[in-house]
Amino acid sequence: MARFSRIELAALIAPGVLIVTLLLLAPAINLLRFSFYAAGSTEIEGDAGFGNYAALLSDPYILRIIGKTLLISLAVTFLCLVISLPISNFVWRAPSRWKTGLMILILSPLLVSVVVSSFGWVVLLGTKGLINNLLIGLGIIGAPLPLLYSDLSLILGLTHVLLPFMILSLVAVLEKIDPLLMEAAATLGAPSHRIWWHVQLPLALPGIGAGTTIVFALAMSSYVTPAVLGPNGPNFITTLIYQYFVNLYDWGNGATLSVVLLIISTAVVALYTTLLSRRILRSTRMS
Amino acid sequence: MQRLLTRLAVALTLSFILAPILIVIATAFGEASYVQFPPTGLTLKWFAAAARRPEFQSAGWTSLWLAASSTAIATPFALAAAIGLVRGRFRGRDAIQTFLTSPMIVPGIVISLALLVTSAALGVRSDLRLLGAHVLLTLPYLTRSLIASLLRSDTLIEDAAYTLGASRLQTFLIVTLPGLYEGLLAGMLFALIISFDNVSISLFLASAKSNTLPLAVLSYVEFNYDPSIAALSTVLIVVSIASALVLERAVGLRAALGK
Amino acid sequence: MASLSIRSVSKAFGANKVLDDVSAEIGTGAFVTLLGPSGCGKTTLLRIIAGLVEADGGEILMDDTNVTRLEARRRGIGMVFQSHALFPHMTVLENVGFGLRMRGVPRQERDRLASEALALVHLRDFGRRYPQQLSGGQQQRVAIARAVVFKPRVLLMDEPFGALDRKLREALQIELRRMTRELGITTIFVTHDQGEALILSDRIALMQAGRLVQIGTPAEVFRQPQTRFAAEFMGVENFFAAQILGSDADGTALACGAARLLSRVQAKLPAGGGIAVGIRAEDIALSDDAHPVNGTSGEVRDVVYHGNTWTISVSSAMGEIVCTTQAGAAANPPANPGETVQLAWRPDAVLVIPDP
Repeated sequence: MARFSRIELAALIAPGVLIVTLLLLAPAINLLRFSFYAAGSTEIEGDAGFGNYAALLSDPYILRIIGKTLLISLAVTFLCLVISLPISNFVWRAPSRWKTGLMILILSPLLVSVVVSSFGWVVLLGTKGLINNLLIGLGIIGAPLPLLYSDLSLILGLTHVLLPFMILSLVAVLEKIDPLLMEAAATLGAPSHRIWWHVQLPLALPGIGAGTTIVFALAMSSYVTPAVLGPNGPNFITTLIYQYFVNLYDWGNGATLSVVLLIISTAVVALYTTLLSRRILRSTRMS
Repeated sequence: MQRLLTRLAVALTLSFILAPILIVIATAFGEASYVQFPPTGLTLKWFAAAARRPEFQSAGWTSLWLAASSTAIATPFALAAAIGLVRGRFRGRDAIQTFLTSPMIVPGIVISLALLVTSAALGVRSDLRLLGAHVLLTLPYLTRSLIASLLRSDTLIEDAAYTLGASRLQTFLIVTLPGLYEGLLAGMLFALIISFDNVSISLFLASAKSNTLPLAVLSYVEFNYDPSIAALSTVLIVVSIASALVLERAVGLRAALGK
Repeated sequence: MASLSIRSVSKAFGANKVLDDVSAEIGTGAFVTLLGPSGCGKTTLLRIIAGLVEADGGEILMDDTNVTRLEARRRGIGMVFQSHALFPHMTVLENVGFGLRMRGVPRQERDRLASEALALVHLRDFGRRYPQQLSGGQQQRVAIARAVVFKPRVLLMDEPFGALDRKLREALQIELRRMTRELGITTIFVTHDQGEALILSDRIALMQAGRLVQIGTPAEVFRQPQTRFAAEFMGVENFFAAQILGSDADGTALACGAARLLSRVQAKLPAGGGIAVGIRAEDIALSDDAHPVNGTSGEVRDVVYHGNTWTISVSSAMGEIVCTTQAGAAANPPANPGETVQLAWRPDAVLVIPDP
């Protein structure tokens, strides 16, 4: 293959890098700059410092919201993983003529706007919604349960929109597994649950790692679901940021919280990437 | 027994995935003036009601324009970068690839805020900053699906073209590009969907003049609770599923996702 | 058609030296095979000749013109790749016509020439199909037609039949030999299959670890391997360290431990020199003669049936010896383990290897 010269490579790659630099890197640095200046304004005033960080991260109200964001994201990640394991296994083993249809169904929350599916949950969980009507009709409860605008509806909504990412990661890694390995394990006398535990699950670990990382990072930074389905008032780090920027015109504190969110989500991804590369290093050393 | 349990789990999972989507479609056809399930009667009046609302009309056009123009702008950049990244051998290639796909990892709300704060300082027009945000949004999806299809493409056929007398430009246009056609189409369609559905990146950047459809729906849902929103959502669902089917027919969903 | 000179070509990928000072002269119209195990540098050399890879040092000349710095597309070569590398989105006729199209040949003329080239590989009626609709053998024939249609100065082939099954490979080998002789085209053919090299070539260039170890006619390389590697690669199983006792017009007398051997090969080496001798298993026979000119006796270790032949391993005073005998119609093995047998071979079976 004819090689590209350095100049040609630069000409090919530089425009894209320029776009991301101008539209992401530079604005992000500017946002970071805002976080160091006085809170309570949309202008840069006074001296730079870590005052916003110190104030926000010692405020129990803010810390509780951040903690709750992490906790709910963790719960969503766990739910997604548990739900994904059987269905991704099913997709992997399904005959290929079914696979396409199955995948479209599974990916539908990804293809339909999150605003639409959140609205669907409102209809399902509301006081006059399907679930409450059903429960009342069956005589299980007398008065409607407050399902909507709660942590439960928030977790359900987030799990719903993020599930496709987990299933995609798992199916992608499962499809790389040689089916002969399962047959080999079976001929060696392993019952199916032990094949799953000793052969399939360890081989699927990279996909589980990737899926949980993506789901956790996306859960933490989601805005629409907490805004539509969560409890009233700022209930999530993103809705809190929104409040600072839009309702309080406080760009300093809003920027500070955005930086905190960015740091946590980047750290999660970075942690996973390091663990993964360690794992690869270890397995190559073994072979 | 085990098979039965698996099938039950799969059935439950699929109902969980489909329930909120199907219920939206079902309620769009009900007579009552509030959203109710099961719906009573059968009517199309809410579709007409949704179509008549001026804020949905203008937001719909804005979203279409935004999706089409951001995809059109981002595609050549993504194509050039993908070729450079796949066909070049140089240090820092992985770092550049991570950088180019980073808009996928950085929380959308942070991108939106960073652009708000910066464009406010520079006095950028609101439709332009929205366009910039969506170019940034679609670029990584296009880059990733093009990288995937370039990695799949056979470099030996490029060698063959060179030995047969083709120049590099001829080789790219006659031999490489036709092979990328599927990945390109998939990436572009997927980018259109991503842009059209996006909320978080547009969140702080839209204005009354340039509101996007998902944002219009979002603010409508906050204060209203009538089936016209279900009707509009039904249209959006049908459009999404239809594009997914087109994608699948043309190239397969996997190719679109760059997996 | 052109002659080709390869002069001191070297190439390294990082610390890995793939080609080390390789030189060869290839005459106009010759069919030369680059033969060697995988990783010996033969494909890299071919790609350097094609202009797809740049050499670190050395020169490539075509008809005494230096083409070292010339782009691949201007060298006027035709190349056939192992995985055929047909353009999947073009018909067979468009594939074959591609080189002509790049050379500005008008459409009608192009289609006529491409059809002729397809006829040459017996695929006249397949022009409108797409490559995916053809079998592996047909695809490779299209690739050959595509590489020769514009009358290249040199035809380069990189293990073109490697992915095909044996029967198809043999048929294509014979077809290729007929075609290249008819066209009189200078051809360089890369393979790791010594049988293929023997069938096709005017000359074989044997490569090992980035170096050219021997170049000669198939018979020369087969009968007079110059190194132990060359002998092994050409299928010699038995090797013995030996010393030259003396040489005359009839041949060479050798001492191999206590045993005395006579070789028909004239060693161009002084007496007393330490060399190796190699003897092919099929040249060694079980003998009734208790004192053959060349021979030894030993105890049978193992007997293996191969259908047409028997392979017998014998532990002798000269060391472990493997010999094969024709099985014929007889169902019984020619010897049994534990038995003592006499082995004999003719003087012209004794290959003198100067570089052990």
